Amino acid sequence: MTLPMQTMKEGVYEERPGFPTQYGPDRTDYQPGVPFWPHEAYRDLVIVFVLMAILLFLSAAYTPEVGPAANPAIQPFIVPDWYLLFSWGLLKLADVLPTIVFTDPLGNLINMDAAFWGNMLTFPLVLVPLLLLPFIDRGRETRPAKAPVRTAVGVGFYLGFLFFSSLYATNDRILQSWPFIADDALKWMVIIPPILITFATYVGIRRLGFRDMYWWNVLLIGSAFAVVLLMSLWAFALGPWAADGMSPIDRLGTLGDQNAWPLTVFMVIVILYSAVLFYATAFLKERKAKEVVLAASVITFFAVVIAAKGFADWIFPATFSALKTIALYSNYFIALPLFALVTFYLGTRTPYSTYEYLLNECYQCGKCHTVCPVTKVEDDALGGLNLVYNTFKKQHDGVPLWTCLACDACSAVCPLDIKYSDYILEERSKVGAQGAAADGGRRYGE
Amino acid sequence: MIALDPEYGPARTIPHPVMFRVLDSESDETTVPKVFPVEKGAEWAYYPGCIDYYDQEMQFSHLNYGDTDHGIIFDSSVKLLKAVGIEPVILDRSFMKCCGHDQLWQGKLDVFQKMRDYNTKIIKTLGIKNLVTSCAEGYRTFKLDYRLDGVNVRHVTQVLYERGLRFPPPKDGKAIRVTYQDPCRSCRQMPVDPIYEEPRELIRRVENAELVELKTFRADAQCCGVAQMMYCNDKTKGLTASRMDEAKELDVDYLLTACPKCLTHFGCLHHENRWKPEEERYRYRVIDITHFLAERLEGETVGRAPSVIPQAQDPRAKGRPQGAE
Amino acid sequence: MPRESLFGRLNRKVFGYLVSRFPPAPWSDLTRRTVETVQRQVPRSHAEKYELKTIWYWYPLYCLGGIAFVAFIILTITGILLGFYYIPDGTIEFTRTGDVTSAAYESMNFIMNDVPFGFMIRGLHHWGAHVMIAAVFLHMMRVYFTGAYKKPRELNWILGVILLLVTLFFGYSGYLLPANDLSRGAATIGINMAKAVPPLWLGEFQTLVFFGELDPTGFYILRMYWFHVFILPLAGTLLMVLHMALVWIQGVAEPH
Repeated sequence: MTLPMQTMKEGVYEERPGFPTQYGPDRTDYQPGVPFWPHEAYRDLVIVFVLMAILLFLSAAYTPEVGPAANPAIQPFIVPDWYLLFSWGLLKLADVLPTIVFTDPLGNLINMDAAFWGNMLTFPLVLVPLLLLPFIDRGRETRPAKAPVRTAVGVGFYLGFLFFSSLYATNDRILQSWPFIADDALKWMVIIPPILITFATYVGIRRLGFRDMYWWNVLLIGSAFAVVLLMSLWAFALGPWAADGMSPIDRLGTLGDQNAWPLTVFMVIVILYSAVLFYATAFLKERKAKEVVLAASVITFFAVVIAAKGFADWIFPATFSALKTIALYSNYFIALPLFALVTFYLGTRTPYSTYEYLLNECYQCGKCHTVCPVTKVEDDALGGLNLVYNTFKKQHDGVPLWTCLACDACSAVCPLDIKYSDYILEERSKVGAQGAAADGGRRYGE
Repeated sequence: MIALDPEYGPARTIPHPVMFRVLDSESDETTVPKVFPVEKGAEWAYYPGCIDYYDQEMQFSHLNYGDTDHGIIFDSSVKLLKAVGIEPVILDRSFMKCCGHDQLWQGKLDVFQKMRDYNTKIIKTLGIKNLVTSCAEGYRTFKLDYRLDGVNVRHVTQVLYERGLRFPPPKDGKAIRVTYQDPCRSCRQMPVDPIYEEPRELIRRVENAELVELKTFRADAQCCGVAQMMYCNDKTKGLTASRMDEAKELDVDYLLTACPKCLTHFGCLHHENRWKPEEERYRYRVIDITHFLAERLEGETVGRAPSVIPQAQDPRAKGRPQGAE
Repeated sequence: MPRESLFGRLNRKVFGYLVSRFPPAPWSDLTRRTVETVQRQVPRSHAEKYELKTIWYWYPLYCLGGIAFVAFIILTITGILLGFYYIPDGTIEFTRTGDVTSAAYESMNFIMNDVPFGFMIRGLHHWGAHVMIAAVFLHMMRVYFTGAYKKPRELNWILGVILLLVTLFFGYSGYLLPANDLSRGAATIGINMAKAVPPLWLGEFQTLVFFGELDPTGFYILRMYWFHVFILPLAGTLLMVLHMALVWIQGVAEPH
């Protein structure tokens, strides 16, 4: 550290190190804060200037236009600003809910129509849970990776539900550009993908702490496969067909018909893909399964693209009707395998166990330091071999690492249950460490 | 010349290099034998571990004369298991390898993995249902670091306790004070099935034994200072000595351990202590708990390992009080 | 002995004038104590405290609340500037050529075309609004995911959600003001949604409170204007100051 920096640090931090060196109720080395002026003020000014710069650039380069004046005679095709799209989408979605009209005891007419349901969906469903959140979630865990339910629900809700309901708000524009997408499909997209995103996130986050997500994965992907099969049967035999109005049973008999080919091909591709996913999850070993799944996904993707292009060139309307049916059930056929794939990958990740992540939970209570037997016999210039703190500050010069007895006395008293011996085990098994400290230096593979 | 990674600072030399080289070199042999000297499909198996190696190391090392008897743990454990009606298959070193605990904690992950794969194959081939060890480090390693699905790993004290081992009344009614050192590996470090109560209960069943607790015990018990044989200097010996001083203050007759490592190092220090002046002498015996319980089983003393030192120079022969046996 | 500079004498004179009329003793002490507290109060971040060598990649997300506040300041200033020229009258009028217009629309055009840098001020206000709403939403997500709403910060979270509603309402009332197509369409939707709350009298009452009329003819602009420039800024500023004061008192939930 250069001298001026050192002087500044000393002046600012009053020559006290960042971590406490005294323990117990008679401590006197409390840490002072950082001065507001000039340190904090400079930090904040940077943010203000950057923000101003961005805003000025946007105002100059993308100046908002006023547009045509409000005209009571014309019904405009408007889309609200992005932050209210979710409410607009939910309002449109509320069409599916039934309209209930009745008179209440006070003689008022209660009309629960689409607009009412739209209100209900926006305010009580979205905003009230937000208000009540601290009273619903009373756990202590703050770190997102250690609170899988909260994180999964948050991702599914914020990113999934709000995004897809905002997407539904623009359904007229979507249907204009891609006419083969059915409006119903978009409606289902507001429900199904958020649920799937929640599951995938849950599995992915849980995997961080638990190695054995095997049965979870098998269950999830197995049920995904079962649902895909069921939906295929439904689409083929029972479900509504395209706009031509032919009865499904008759359609079955025309499988050789040119118009039925695209649908069959796409369905078969999706079923095969889900089957491969399920087989890989249930029966193959992790690394092999990942390779197989990756290969299958790539092949499926290209197969679908080529099939769509091929059929479009060959039989245009039939392809559209096939794609429309697929799109209607796309949440199952396409979204499910996709999310099964994502879940599979997340669910088979190696747990996240780097020491900084785990040790970062430490709030420096000092109990481990008190009970560590090595600190009682080892000494160094700072007045005690501060094993845990030196490690925490990543300043272990090797001595704490190899001096540790791994007796876990520290872990036994740690209020956060940080397993220090796990860290020791991991660090010692690293290649560089082996060469430096094992007897004679056995290197990996030697 | 091994380049020292600057981040990892000065190296520590692992003591007992000969023993470790021998154990590590074993891992290179990865062929599992086709024919085993034991029968397959046995329910119970006993894995003694490296204790005979400690005997050899102690006997031939220049550090002491090897009067700490490890092999007796093997005899005692088998005897105790037979007393509760178990005929275990002995998984000894003729076809099993070292469990790899020390290598794992010393950072030699590759060596550990080879040993683990080899041992696991054998255990699976033999179709063992219950694996009994008398070593706390082996207990932890088999239970946590090996993935032995379907095999129930137990420590010998757990088995004896569960099977209701009882002791006959002692031949002489002399009351003895006994204290017990909780091994780190089988107690504090075990997130499942730590062994706190079983040894204590077994000691209590011996009628004339009074169990007193050291200054820190159970989950707070101070480590004996062994550090997976990571290093050996005055600091670690200081830890061991402080623990033995605690036992001395309690004025016990026996200091019992459940881990051969603890036994080794208490024994080594006990031996060094023999050259100290009278007031600093440790007057108690340091033995493994299986040895102690086997002694109490028939009320007799289990035979000791022969000393390698010629009788003339053996300090015990001069009539001095007993050291570690 | 150097003579006192002109500035020094002037300063003394001015300060003397004030000091003889407003005794400074309690005030200066208060100022000193406040300055000392503020100067010493900003706590060290986790990285500074432990001199961590790793920069966690989620640290910048903790600026989002501050960004929302800075954007709010910018919006206030540009809003005041816009307010010099904006006319909150949405009654339908006709231009000389027969096109539909209103006083609000004309004032918007005036700002965009005739006021020097008016388009920049309006642009800043427009983009500042988007930035603020985005920052508020992302801030809420950050607080949610890091669990910073748990004890003892529940009240702060509720304040924050109310502020979110205030911000959304700010945005909504804001884009109703220019009296263009979008504003009329949005007003129609809003009026319909407000009316839809049963029973009928409640819906209508609510609509009259927020929009001032039951059909989007143009009066809603004045009502929304009043919400946008007085009611919401007052409530919003008070709540924001309270929100930030709670953070000051309770401390930032440590990012781990």
